[in-house]
Amino acid sequence: MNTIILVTSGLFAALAVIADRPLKARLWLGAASLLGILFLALKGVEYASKAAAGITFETHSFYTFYYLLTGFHAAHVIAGIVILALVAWEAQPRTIGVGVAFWHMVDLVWVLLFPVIYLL
Amino acid sequence: MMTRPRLFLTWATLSVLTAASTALHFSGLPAQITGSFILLAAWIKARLILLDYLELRGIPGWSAGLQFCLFILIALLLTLFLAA
Repeated sequence: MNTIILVTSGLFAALAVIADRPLKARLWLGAASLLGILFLALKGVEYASKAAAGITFETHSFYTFYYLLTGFHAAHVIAGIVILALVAWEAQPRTIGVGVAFWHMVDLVWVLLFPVIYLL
Repeated sequence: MMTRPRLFLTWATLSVLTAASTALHFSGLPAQITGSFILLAAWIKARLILLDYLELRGIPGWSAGLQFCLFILIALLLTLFLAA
């Protein structure tokens, strides 16, 4: 679910880049940010369930890497939401393009982290 | 500049590959088969994000360089997974 949310958020961000009016671009950027917040909320639920099960950094070396990798990624999602908000403020094509590129990199890293941590 | 149909096609492909990877993880098939497919799907998804979302399709130099790095990463992960 988290991956679908992020790739959908990436689609909204990409649509902001090709939007023909600043208002449309702001709406797409807002939608992308909201999905970023939803991603973080689900990540919070996931961490809470791990904590409730007594799983911490020290449970196993896998969980040390799990918390570090997903935690740093979540920090970049927070940074990305702030960046999208900042570029939406001015809504200039060049700044939107740069901000959205950061968001896509966060997306790209998750697509590579997801199978390694959750599926393999 | 990317077009809306192209972006929606990319998004649909990313979503289908993600759903297929998750379904395969729970399928009960041998781990070597599912793991290899999951990494192959991750490679395709990462390529699509680079080429379409990040619009590197029209920038051959950057595209080739990043795709080479991506290939090395996926090959390394696959080798480690199959050797484990």
